[in-house]
Amino acid sequence: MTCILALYIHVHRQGKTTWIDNGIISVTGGFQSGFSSLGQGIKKTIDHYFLLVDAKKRSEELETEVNLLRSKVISQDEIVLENKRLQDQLSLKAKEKETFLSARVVAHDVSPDFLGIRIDRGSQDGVQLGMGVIHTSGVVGKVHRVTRFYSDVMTVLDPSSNIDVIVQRSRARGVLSGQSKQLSCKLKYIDRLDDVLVNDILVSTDFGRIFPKGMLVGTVTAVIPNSNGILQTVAVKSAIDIYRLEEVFLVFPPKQSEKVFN
Amino acid sequence: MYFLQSNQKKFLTNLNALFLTLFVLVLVLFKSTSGTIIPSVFYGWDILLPVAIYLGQRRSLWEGLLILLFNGHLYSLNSSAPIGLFVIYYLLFFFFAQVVAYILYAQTPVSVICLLFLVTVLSRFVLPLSAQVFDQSISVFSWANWNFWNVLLNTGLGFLIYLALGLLDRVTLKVPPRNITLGDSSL
Repeated sequence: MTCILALYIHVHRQGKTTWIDNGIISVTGGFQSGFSSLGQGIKKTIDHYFLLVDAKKRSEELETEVNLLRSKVISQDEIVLENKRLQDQLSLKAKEKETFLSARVVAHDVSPDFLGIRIDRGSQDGVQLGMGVIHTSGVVGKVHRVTRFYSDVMTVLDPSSNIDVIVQRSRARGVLSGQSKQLSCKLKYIDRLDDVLVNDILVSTDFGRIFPKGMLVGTVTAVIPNSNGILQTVAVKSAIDIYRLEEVFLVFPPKQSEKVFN
Repeated sequence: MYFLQSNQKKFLTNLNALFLTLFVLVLVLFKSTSGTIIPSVFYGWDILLPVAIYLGQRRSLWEGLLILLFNGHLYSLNSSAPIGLFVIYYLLFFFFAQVVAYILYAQTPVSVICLLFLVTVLSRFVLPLSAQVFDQSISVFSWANWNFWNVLLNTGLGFLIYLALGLLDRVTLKVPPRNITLGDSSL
């Protein structure tokens, strides 16, 4: 019995799947795709037709915010142009760009202690293990299991997830890991002397070319200095709400995106 | 089911494991696709724990083991946890329930609820410890392990699943129908 269990675990190590698993995932994924469409339809109907009480007030608030953001965009356009001009003058090599592929979230993790999602893109769409997954609101996670039609993504909130991030303000570097039970994250390996404050923004790095550089990952919610050790404890609120995700984007690194999209 | 022939009844009983797996599959599909519509307080629901306890109490060792291994694998394929973690985790509770069934009569509603409560509390520590084997860093002594609502939720919903499995066994004639004895003639 122990030998069979050991063999079973060995066969499935590091997200590997057999043809039986692929068959099971294809069947359950098909059902999940249908059920999740139904669930999202119900939710949209409720949100759009029954919960319109504060819609007008919210619309006015958003209009004010849009005007503010519009003025910010104009000033940033100036900075972008200036940056490009300076780069040209210094003859810096233009960075290759990543390409994105949209995918629909068809299911969430069945266990309360792990936070993964299943998307409707698989190896037939060029998806590979370890690929980055993002959303318009921020970094989602990495692909950790691939079958022909579906892939499983380990989100940043998952306890097994580790993502390289930097603090946008001070450029302090650390590794972000999930804490599924609290639906939040913690920043690991942050030196006690590193400059991190509450409300600091964490962004992705281009380490490993998994995510686009500078993508929003989360916001610091608490900094607890450790008087005895050399590290400090930093609690982070993720930029994404995994139970509200409907569509995500797979990040194809520059070289691979040429192959897939050609 | 009284209208069935004896060979049809036997066939229905043989399909019990398949129906049980379909029941677990429906729960897995519901849990994995209802995240956007159910309130967040229900996210902590553990589907397979009451199934493991039920199988441990009401099935022979090998029959229960086979059903649980398949369902544990099905569960693992729908989670981002390493495959094998949930199989080991639920097997531990299956063996625990087998031992409990051997030494205690815990099949009345109150005793089943007490057993599910105990198992739910234990599970908060057994899973992180099992996860250590797979190099997963789930904190064993986190305050989140003491979320009383999750314990109550899993005990309550677990009891409903336990009852549903009992009903499934009766419908598929896995357990013999109860004998109804008429009162004596003086009544």
